[in-house]
Amino acid sequence: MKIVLNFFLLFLLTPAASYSDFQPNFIDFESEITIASWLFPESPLYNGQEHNNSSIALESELYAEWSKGDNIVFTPFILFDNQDNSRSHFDIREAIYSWYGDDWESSIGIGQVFWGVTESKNLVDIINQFDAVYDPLYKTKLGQPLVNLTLIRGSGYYEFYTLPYFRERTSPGKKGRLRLDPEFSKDSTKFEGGSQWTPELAIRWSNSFSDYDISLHSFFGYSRAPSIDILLVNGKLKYEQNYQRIRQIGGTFQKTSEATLYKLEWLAKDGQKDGNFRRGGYFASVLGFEHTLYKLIGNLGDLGLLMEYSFDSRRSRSTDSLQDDIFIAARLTLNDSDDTQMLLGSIVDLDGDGQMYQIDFGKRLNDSLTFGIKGAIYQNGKYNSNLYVLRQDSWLEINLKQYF
Amino acid sequence: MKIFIKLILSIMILSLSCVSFSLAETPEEKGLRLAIEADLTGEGFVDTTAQSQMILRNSQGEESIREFSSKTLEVENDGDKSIFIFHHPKDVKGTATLTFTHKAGPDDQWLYLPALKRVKRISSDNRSGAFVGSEFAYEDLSSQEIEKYTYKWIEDTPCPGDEQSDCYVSESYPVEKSSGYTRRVSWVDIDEHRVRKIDFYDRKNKLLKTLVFSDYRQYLGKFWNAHILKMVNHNTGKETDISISETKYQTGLKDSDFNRQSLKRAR
Repeated sequence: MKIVLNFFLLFLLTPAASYSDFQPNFIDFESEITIASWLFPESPLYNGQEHNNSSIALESELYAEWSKGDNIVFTPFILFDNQDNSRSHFDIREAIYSWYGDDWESSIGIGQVFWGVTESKNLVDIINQFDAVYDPLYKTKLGQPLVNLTLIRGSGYYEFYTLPYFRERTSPGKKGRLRLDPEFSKDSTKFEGGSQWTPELAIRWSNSFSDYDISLHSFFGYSRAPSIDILLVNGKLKYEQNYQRIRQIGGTFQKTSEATLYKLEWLAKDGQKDGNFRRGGYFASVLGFEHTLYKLIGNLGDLGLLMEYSFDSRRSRSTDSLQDDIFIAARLTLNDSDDTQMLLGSIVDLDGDGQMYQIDFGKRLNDSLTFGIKGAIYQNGKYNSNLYVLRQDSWLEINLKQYF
Repeated sequence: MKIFIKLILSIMILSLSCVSFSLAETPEEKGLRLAIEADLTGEGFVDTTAQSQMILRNSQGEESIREFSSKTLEVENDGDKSIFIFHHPKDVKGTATLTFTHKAGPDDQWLYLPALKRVKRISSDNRSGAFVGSEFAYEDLSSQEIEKYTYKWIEDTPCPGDEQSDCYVSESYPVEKSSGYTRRVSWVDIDEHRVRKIDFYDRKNKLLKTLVFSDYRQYLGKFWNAHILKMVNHNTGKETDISISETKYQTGLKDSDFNRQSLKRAR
């Protein structure tokens, strides 16, 4: 197997030097298969939708490292869904070459970048697009083509990104739940002020000062969240996803104080259309804390209490469902040999525009098998709100993940 | 600099105790002196790397295995910097922590979650929490700084399980109030300051755990390392064994191998 991988890597790279120069110091190959079943207890709203669907996903990771300070990661992902063709998809999560010195790192390829400190959502996390059909809780992201340079200085970490290609958010098809009716037509997505190949730029600075972790960023490119155009074509209603060029500055702040973490994410953005199809500037933030009660039940586990407030200056015109909402959650970490963990959360809109409940449970069944339950309940969304669209689509996922 | 101060301090204490027996040490002074002497034997290691396997055993004898590697860098004037990387079980493979230990005040700690590519600053207040579900608490495995405890010498006895060697028994009391212990009782051999056994007493001052060190090997003609650590929890009957392989000293690690960028690369 290793020989095959070496051979493969050899051909990936320039064949100018001898084989021994390119023979990696360390190679690792891992895969995971996830079998998941979704259950939607409430009746579907639209024709073609079902009460349940099942999927199988395969993700493999090939990693190779050379002693002189570079490495390559290749992570393809493929999913098959038994109901929704649009949910069946292939993605390259990562295919990236990185090289580094003492005070710098550079990478080129398809990568994954995480920015953020809060738990209910990460306003500032803009480099990658969400894989919304795979994960309706918005934690999983699509691979993003990028060129990065990171400089590590006494005054902090400076990251520079050029993003040559924009990824659309994945969305369900006719047989999928969690959608508008009719579903988005894939071929009519608009990229205002450019095309998918119009480059994007991002800069970020971050540093730690004893208990404080601070970051600032600036971004020029497409908004990751689409705005939705409503059209009448031949007397038929049609929804189109539409991405606008935006300019954004934002930042994060965290103070780590004994068992309590105080967190803030904020941004100021210009160029995105709001719920009334008007472009304009706005401010948004997530402010909250996470307090952990260690060894709460005897020696049995830790209980984390989370509370975050999401604000969006567009209020009811916001395209984000969290615009004046309180997130309250409890995270129980049993700290047992199975790594049992559970998060129970609720998001309540302070304007009375409904609420949402979340569950995320996971434990290890054996050294290479894990079990998880996830779900969300959507309640009392006001007519025409983001939550209203999901009113019949509360869901529960049961999954098994096998590592090999 | 601190090394010098410690050296001068211990020389002063030593010479004081040699010159004049009328100035008898209190048990607290003797405890501190022994702790400083023991600490000095570990000074100057520069950096180490190690591979470790942990066997967790519950009271029914069922076992589960954890594997991790660690890198440690000695820092002048402050506590060590270290990175832990998990390899097994596979669902936590690639999870890593970066810790800057401080002599005074809480440690700085970051956690890397490979599935999310997220580096998360975490509280070091969980020092009393179980390390990956084992019987070891984080504080049992973190860098042991003199300043984090106060000390008291109890007595000199034959070493437990090794009657030929002489040990001193010393108690140490954690300074940080987030510690899970009121005190630790240590059996340390007089010749080489190797810790042979530690009894841990919980917040109610009841015997909670016992840790036995064995398979000591010497590196660079100077540094003694235990390669087998056996922890028994007297409350639950659970046990955790750590066996350390492939310890290396002075591998050429640099400060730049211990930052948030290198944490993301750690394998």
